[in-house]
Amino acid sequence: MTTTSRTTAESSVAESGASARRGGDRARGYWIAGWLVVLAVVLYFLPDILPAAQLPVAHQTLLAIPSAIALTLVMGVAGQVSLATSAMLAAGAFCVGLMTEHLSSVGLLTNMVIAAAVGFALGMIVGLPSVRIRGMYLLLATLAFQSIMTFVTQRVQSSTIGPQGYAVPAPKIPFTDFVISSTRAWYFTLLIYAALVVVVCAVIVRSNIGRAWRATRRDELTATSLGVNVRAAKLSAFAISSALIAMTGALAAYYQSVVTYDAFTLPVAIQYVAMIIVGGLGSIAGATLGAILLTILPYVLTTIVHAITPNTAIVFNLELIIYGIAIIFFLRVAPGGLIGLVQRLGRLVDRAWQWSRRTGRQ
Amino acid sequence: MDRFLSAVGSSVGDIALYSFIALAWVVIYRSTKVLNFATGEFVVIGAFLAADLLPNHELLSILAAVVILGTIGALTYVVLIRPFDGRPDWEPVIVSMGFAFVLDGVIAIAWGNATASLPPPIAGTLGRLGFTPVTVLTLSAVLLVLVVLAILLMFLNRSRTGIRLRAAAEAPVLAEQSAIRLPWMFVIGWTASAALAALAGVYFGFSHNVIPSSTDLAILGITPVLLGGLDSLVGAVVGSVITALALNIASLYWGDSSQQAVSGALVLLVLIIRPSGLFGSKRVARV
Repeated sequence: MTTTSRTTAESSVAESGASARRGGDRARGYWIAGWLVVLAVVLYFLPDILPAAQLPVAHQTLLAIPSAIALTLVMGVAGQVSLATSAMLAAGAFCVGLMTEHLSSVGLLTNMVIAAAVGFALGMIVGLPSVRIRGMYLLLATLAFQSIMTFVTQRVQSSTIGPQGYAVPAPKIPFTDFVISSTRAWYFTLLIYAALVVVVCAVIVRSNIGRAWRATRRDELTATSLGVNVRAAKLSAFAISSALIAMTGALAAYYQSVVTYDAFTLPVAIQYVAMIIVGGLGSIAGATLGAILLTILPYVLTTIVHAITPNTAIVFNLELIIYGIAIIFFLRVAPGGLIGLVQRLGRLVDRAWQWSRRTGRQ
Repeated sequence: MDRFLSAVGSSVGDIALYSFIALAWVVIYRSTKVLNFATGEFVVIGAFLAADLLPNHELLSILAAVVILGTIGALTYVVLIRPFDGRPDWEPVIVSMGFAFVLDGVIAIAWGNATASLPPPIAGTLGRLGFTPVTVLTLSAVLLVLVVLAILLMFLNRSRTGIRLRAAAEAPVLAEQSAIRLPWMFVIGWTASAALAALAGVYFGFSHNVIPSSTDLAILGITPVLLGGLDSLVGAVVGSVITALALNIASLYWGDSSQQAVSGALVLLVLIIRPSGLFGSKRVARV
């Protein structure tokens, strides 16, 4: 490599550019921090702003976010396909159910860690086909896994406790005696959990593992030639995301206080895929946005359609139809999801701003 | 032994049913390399249309159902699948799943709690296997499957349009340069597939009461297709035989609920051991 010496003019231009960039970055940093503070304040006061009957909706949204983010790690960042989300949620929930049955002294945190470990192991298994097959075939393999998990959980449940499912008592905050039972307490518990998952996933995405995943998604052959262990990347993507999903399933089991196998169906898995597609594949913000929107959607629809017709059957089916259309629409029209649209809007605004500045200066 | 024979006996009807569905899957895959997860909904719509359209003219009703469903299939391709040319191959599959949701809602709104049940045009039994009667209907259905299979094979391998269809599917760029109109080929594929799904629905209506939630049926249709090979028509039928036998025998020992899992296990086995299926060509997405 040859070293070049810069002239004074060049270096000062470079310097000013760099300092402008640094200044620009700092300004952006303040901007983002400001919005985060606003968000934190809103989230803190949300239980007081929302009517009490709506809080469960917030709970479900907060429960959906971590799984959606985990799924986007596998599908968006690492470029794989997975319909195994529901199966992993079931795995985590059944961990809690079985532990509560047989070892009820085990607390929330331990059960969640166990669920994560189980999810990790199962994720490795589900990830195995991904090493050899791709695309549609991988989708089918994960689909098959879902069917098998349904069968296994159903057998386990009917041979141990029967159709009413496992009853899960309200959990205590780890290392304290505070029982999480009120809607307010659950709100903050789920909020903190979701926030932790967001942070952890953001760190993972920016780490070497995340880079390996992105390289695998782009082009496996090139990634391999650059020294990326593609097989490890795929397996780790499935394992880590499944661990997160199973952990979330465990927490959800505590929230629902009952674990039954029939809550974990294929449509649930498809819904999570829909969430990350609508929100924007590959970004944590996209997954969060998609999770929020698609969890709230049925309630919004119910309110709207109820105003037109009180027929609950039609309401449900209309939701189904709109859900399906949303999936099709976003995959077709806006592959970057809502976040992609927002980014495009942001670029448009940016360009308009710069144009106005330039014309203003003249 | 008797119970085992009964299981085999009840498989015969399922063989016909799965074969129609599997052939529908394979025809779509052969023409557009996509799996249509709304096939189950097509089947149920076929059954309800045949039952409700012209209640007094059953054969006409069936014909109308097949034609209408064929049109739906063509429209589905044009509106939903065609725009995904060149995108990752799992996207049209997810789209078809979304479409399946939409159709589920439509079916439930249109037919709510209704059941579709068609009086079988041919009655009579030809004896028993174990405790299961083997009806003339089931045997003629199996015969029809073989006839349809023969027609499809001849069409795809011998006729000009059929060869063009295969060319369009396997080498689209070259096909276009040989003046083969690709969109029409794909439309033909989807129309034929939807028609087959309608036939499956009609046959299902003969032997069962079809309810709006029977759409789960189609998921079972993947297993014969993967077993036999996604692009093999013969494989679809052979896969159906294997699947029907396996599922009925599993029902015998582990109960009806084991069917989904056995189905899933078969799929996983195939995907791990021999992704191209028994008769499929080797060009599977192997890494």
